[in-house]
This record gives sequence, structure tokens and C-alpha cells, in this order.
Amino acid sequence: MHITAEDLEFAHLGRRKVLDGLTWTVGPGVTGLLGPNGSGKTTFLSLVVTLLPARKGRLLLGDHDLSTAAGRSGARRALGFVPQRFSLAGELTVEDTVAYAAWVHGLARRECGRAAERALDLVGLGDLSDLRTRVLSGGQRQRVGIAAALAHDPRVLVLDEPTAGLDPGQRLRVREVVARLGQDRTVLVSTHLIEDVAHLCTRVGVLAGGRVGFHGTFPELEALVEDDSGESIYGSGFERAYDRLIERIGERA
Amino acid sequence: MSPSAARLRASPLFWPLPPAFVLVPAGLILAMTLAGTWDQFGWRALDWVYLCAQVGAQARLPVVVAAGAAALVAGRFTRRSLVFAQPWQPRADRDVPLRHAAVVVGWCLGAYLAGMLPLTFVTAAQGSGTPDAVAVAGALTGFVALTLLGYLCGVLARGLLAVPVAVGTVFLLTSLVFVSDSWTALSLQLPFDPFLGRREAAALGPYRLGFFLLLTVAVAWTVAWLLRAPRRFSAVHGAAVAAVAVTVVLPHLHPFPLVVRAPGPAVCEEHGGVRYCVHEGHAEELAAITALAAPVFDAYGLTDALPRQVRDQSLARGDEEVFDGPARGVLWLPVHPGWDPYQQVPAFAAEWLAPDVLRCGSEGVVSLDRNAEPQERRAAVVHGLKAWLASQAFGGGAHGDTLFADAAPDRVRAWIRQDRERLASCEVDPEELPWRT
Repeated sequence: MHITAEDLEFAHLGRRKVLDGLTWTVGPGVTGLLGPNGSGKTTFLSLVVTLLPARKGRLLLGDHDLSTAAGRSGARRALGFVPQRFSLAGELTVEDTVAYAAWVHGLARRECGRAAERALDLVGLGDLSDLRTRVLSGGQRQRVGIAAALAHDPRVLVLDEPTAGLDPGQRLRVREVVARLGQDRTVLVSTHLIEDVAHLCTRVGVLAGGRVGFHGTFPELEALVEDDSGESIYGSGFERAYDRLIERIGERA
Repeated sequence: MSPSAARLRASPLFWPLPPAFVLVPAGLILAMTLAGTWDQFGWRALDWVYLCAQVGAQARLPVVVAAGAAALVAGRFTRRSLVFAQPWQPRADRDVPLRHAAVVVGWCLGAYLAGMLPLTFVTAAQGSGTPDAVAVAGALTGFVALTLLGYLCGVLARGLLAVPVAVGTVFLLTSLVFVSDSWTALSLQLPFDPFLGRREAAALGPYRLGFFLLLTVAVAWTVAWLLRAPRRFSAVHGAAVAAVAVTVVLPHLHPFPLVVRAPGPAVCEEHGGVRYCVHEGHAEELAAITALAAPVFDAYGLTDALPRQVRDQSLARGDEEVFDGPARGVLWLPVHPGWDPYQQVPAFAAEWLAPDVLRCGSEGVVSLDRNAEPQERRAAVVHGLKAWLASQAFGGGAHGDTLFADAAPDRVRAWIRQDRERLASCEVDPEELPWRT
């Protein structure tokens, strides 16, 4: 299932446009979404997950037009979303949490138990299903969040900073999970971490000035930065090159 | 986790809530309801009018617990940060609150109804009057509406703070009936307990039912609106909220009559020249009333001082009829659920025969002390006579009054006949009593 944006515009009430003529197509596989603070990443994700209505331009999730209430309603069952910050109800077990999330996403109750088992196996938490969520580590909580978002088997999965705040070991586990999920669905990952993009994403989009200024593979992005700065894209080299990259993309857009 | 605990967790009776979230408040509600009705199980003269009103009256505190439980569930399980409470999720705005409310209301209302069952069985066994379905439906709908109001508090506050807010709000709403009668149409209960021979005014029950139905719809709609994203204005939602506001204001502009008299057919018998009548539904009380009043009248001895009739207040067609009872020679007895004929019938009969202590001019003070005011000592004579008369219902056993302790019934009767006028105007001193001189 594709996410298709055509000439998409959005401005919060009484403010300047956050998205200004954004045109982009996200296809199956893992796609990274990069951009500086205020570039409109969160707004774009909010539009995709139907938290905000798309008023100008077009935004499609498969055949569902997200500018209409009916389109948003239809798209929601095909969507899974893990916000950057989320909480779990500590009174519930891991399995109950995921099963309940599956039901909230529209699955029939009798199917939720099996769906939860499947999702927990997929994120590698099958053996922790009877634990209360209050005892989980940060990485385990993140994986429960992902399991909750994919228990109803969505065709499109949106992850906002899925590895933020995790230690290197946990980050690696989450990346493995996300990479696996991208094999048979569309996964859009918003992140600040270039390592995430390098290890996970088959395609990358960079938001600048309310538009997608760059869209291509990670090696193409790497080449663009190195062309410009002569520095490696990793570590502090990328940090220094990032502002110039955004500036350059802005000029191109 | 044990298999039985897992089964309990997954049971549709609780799912998706942890069982403790509903079992604790339900247990509390059951205990409160049983405690509130426990002393009534042994009552005489229970009737359906009283019971149907009790369905609302006894709910006053249990519904506060239910609202608190609903607020806790909403506060814990609809927080925006929760991974399964995102406003875009397909079931977030309607099915989720519906499911939560179904589990909480189901358990809390179920516990309340279970708590009311024993009193219902006892009433059914005595079986006077007919159930008032509208009053019961209004009370139960009110229970649901106020529980949902608690849930709304939880959705608004989205945290544990919601619990005291909901408890306080619902307690306040259920207490308004005691502030002013005009709140009665918007409350679970009447400000007093009605009983056989009365019924709720025709408009009150349906109005209350309609109000709580509207409140239920408006609250449910508001909850769904708050949990939805993006939020859209809905004319139907707006109309429901406006309708609730109008129904709240109306009873204050045009107050309702609360209850009307509904006297039923009488069952009567005659004894010693006095006609005793009770409501058909109180027929079982008639023998006790006659047996307890007749000896008191006999002990007084003056037949022209006796009432022509002793009637059950459930037979009265209006308050004036009861107030005018002495002028019409009718002694009205308050036969109602929980009444004690062994205490009340002799006391009322004695009260009819002896003058009011207030006539003595002692402002109700009764004293046999030698240094007491003369009028207080005369009041003691009247008071003692009443106690003595009442004791005659039980063969003149211990009545605890020293003035009449050694008095033989014949001597008392003779004295009453002799000093009738002075007794009526409270002019007899204790020293003048024949058996004390």
C-alpha cells in the first residue's frame, strides 16, 4: 500500500504553512523521514495517521482519500502508528495490552488473542507475554508499542523516533524488528538518527521548507552530503554537514 | 500468572479491564446497599410504593462509588499517551467508552440490584400496592447517567485526579434534592419516603426518566467527541447538550408536584363503638391496631371522648383531612413501612384522649420536683396520664411513671370523670390525685 501526497499544504490555525506543496510517494519497504526540527515531520505524520485532516492538496493511503471523513475512517484500519512518546497501562499484561490494542484497531475480539501472540512473536517478546508492562525495560516497552501497532496486521506502519532514548543494544533489537516488518508492508520511520536510516531504510525522504527536498536511497543521500562537505555522513561529520544539506535541499526545492 | 487468573482476566465479564477495577467498587456497592436496607428486612407494612422509591433513594451513595470507578477507568485507560488510546484508532471514540461503560455499569448496577434483592423479596412477600415501573426506570437510568458522568470526568481529567472530581460532582448532584424541591425532577430520589396511599405525581416520573435518558445520551456523545480526532461539530450533539440544559432549567421555572394522594379501598371493623379502618394493603395491621387501641380507650372510660374512627393515613385524600381529624372525630394513624404499632398505636390513642402538655404553660417542661414551677408539676400529671393510658394496651404493665404507679384502673377512671374539665385545661396538681392523698 502506498502513501501518496500531492501538492499537500497544511497550516495550523493562524500560523504560517508547515507543509507547502509537499509531493511524495512512499511505497512498500522501510522509508526514512528526516528533517530538522520544525520542518513539518510531525505534522506530516499526523496527517498520514489521520490525527489532522488534510484540507489542501491530496493525501492518499492506498485508495483512501484522507481529506474526507470516510477516507480517514477507511484508512484507519490499514494503519499502525507508534508515537515517539507513549505509555502503557502498568496494570495490564504484555499480551492483554497488545490484544486490547488489536481490538481498538478494529479486530474482532475472538481474533485478538491470536493476533497478540503473532505480533509479540514478531517483536521477540513471546516469552514475556504474561508479565505486567510496568516491569519492562525501555527497549521492551518500545517493542510492546510496535507489537500493539501491528497486531491488527496493518499494511502501513508509521514509527516516530522508534529508537529514541534506547541504549545501543535495545536500539539494535528494535531495528531488527522494524527491518523485518518492512519486508511485507509499508513502513515510514521518522528519525533524527542517521544510523537508523542507514541500517533500516531502503528509501529516504528529507523534509525542508515544507516540502520533500530529497528523496532517494541512503547511498544517494550519503553521496549528496559527502559531495557537499567532503565529510563522512556518520557521527559528528553528519551533524556538521546536516545544516548545509538542509540548506542545499532547500535551495533545490 | 496462574491459568485461572488468566481466564478471569480474559473473561468477557471484565475485558479489557483488570478485574480489580470493577470487583472492588462492585463489592463496596453491594455492601453499602445491603447495609442501607438491612434494618428494613424485618419491617412491617412494606409496600411497593416505598420500595420503588427506595430504588432511587438507596442508590445515592452507591452511584457515587460507581462514578468514581468509571472515572478511574477513564482516567487510566483513555489517556492520550497510551499506545491503545490514540484518537485516530478506529474504535477509540465509540466502542472503547462503550465497552468500558458496559463493564463498569454492568458490575456496579448489577451489584446495586443484587443488594436491593433481599428488600424486594421481603416487600414482595408482604405485597401491598403495585410497582411503579417509571419510578424504578428513572432511578436506574439515573444510576447509569451519573456513572457515565463519572466516566466523562475521567476523560476530561485523564488522570487519578478524575476520581475525587467525579465523586464530588456526583455526590453534589445527588444531594441537590435536599436543597430544594425543584431539584427532585432531576434527582434519583424524593426528599422524603412515600408509601402506600401516595404515588409520584404523574409528570414527575416520566420527566425524571426523560432527563436521565437525555443526560445519558449527551454525556455519551460528549465522551465520544472528546476521544475523537479530528473533532467535528455535530448538530445532534449540540442539540442533546442544549436539551439537557433546558430540562435542568424547566423544573425551576415550573415546580412539579412531587406526590399525590392515591387512597385505596378500606378494610374496616368496629369495636367498642369505634370504627377502625386501614388501607386494603395494610389489612394485616388492622387486628393489631384494634387490639392495641381498644384497651386504651376502655381505660379512659368516657365514651364521648373517644374518636368515632381510627383511620390509616394511607386512606387520606389530602393533608387537610388529616389536620382536621380531631375536629371530625377521626384519629389518623401513620401506618407506613417500618412503623411499630406496639409503640405508636397506644401513644396516638393516649394522645387523643389526654390534653397536649403544651396547654399547661410549661413550654413542654415536665417535672415532679418539689421546687419545680406549678405548671411543670401539672404537666407531669398529663404526661403521667398519657403513659398510664398507653400502658393499658399491654394490660397496664410497667409504664415508668411514678404518679400513676399505684393507681387502680377504676380509680383513675373515676378521677378522670370527676376532674375532666380541670384535666382538659391542665389544672390538676400531683397532690390532688386521689390515690396519692
